[in-house]
Amino acid sequence: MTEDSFQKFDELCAGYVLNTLNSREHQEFENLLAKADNNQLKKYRYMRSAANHLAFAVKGTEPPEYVKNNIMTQIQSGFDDSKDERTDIIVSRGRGVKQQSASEQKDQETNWLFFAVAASIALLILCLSLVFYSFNLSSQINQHEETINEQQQIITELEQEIRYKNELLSVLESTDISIITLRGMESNPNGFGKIIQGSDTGATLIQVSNMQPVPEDSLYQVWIIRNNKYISAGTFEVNDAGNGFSRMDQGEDFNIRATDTFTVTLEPEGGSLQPTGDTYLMGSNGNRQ
Amino acid sequence: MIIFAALYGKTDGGSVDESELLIRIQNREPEALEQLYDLYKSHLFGLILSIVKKRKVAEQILQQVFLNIWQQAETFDAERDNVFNRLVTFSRSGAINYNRSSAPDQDNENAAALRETFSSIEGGYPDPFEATIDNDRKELVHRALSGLPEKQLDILKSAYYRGMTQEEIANSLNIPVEEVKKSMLEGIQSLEQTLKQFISGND
Repeated sequence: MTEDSFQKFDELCAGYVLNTLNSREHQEFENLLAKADNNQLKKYRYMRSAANHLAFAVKGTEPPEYVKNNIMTQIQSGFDDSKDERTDIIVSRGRGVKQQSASEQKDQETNWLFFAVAASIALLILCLSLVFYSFNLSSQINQHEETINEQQQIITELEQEIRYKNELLSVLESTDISIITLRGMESNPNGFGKIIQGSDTGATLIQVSNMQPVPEDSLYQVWIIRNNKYISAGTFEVNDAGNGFSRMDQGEDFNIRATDTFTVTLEPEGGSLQPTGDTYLMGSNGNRQ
Repeated sequence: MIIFAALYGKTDGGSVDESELLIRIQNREPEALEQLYDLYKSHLFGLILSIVKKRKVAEQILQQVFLNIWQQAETFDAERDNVFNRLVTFSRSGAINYNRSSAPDQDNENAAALRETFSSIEGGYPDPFEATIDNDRKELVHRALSGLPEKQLDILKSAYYRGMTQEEIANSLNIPVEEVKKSMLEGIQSLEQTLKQFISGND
């Protein structure tokens, strides 16, 4: 190594330890330092140590107590346990000073944690709300279905009544009408009814009122008494008000005028071949109108 | 005891006290860092303040210096490393980098600053060179500096306490860069010679 190169090393070294080199010279000296022998390394260390002693020429100034508190708080709160939590003052030319404190990063992590917990709670509340809404909706649907069934039942009954009324109307529109009045018997003294037949179509109807409610597994049965013989003329039911209406299908040749008596008895469900129960209504041609 | 050792030279030679402090810091004892802080806080704060001239910034840099020591302690060699050198290096680097990055027109500002008297820098803080010498080491540093030619002294002040580059110093003094380099080397060598008993070749 020449004397010039020694001089260059020393000058760069002085500039380096005083931090006055430009970036090119800085890099140049670090390259020299990487290849430096022990004497050069020793020279560098002495020169650096001497430069650092200039700090002793500065009059000491007491920093505020909170600086120390900040330092101790940060290291005791695990400052060194995570590189991500470093408080760092990053200084570079043209970029200004960027200070990123551990507390700020911790705040960010806390914010994210808070956000995650809040989002989870919100999601849970949403799920519970949906379950409650679904349960409530299901309950409402059941109520509506019950209402629909009830309305359907009413509609069916009304349709039935309309059909009966139409049938009655068609009978009443006939040229000639035969009516036999049925009166309540001992078992049902308030009951009454009519058997109506139109001459044009031969259609025969029975209409009853104030009948007692029919026990379960029972129904009313109409009988024709002709020549002292009972002939079944059909069965019918009554509604909750005790009213009933039914068509008696005995064929085109059936003529109520040729019948002696009509009776209505209570029989087991499905009807009987001969009357077995009490007689509720009775009427004869003598009651014909 | 430690303070006495620090001020009278044992700390800058890898002394037992300072090595023990470093080992305890490596063992993650906060009390050791607290002792180190108490030992050097006023010198380092004064040094940083003399460069950045802003108290709040100086506080932040000082705080960062000790956090760096705590964080990087495991990479230090307790027997060979010199914590004082590390502290001063961190302090000056932080302060100089702050100045160089924050000044909009550093050349003009430095040139103006150099024409000022040292009593006016730091926004009214006392001239570091006129500070009271309260121990042997300070006295020796003061003696070494006062023995330097005026130009060499200006160059060292500009470099060390203002963080100016060699080119900036040359421009502000209107002298060639080569002369700045030569004067800087002579100044450091003179200081080194005077402080021989305190300085060491440790890292």
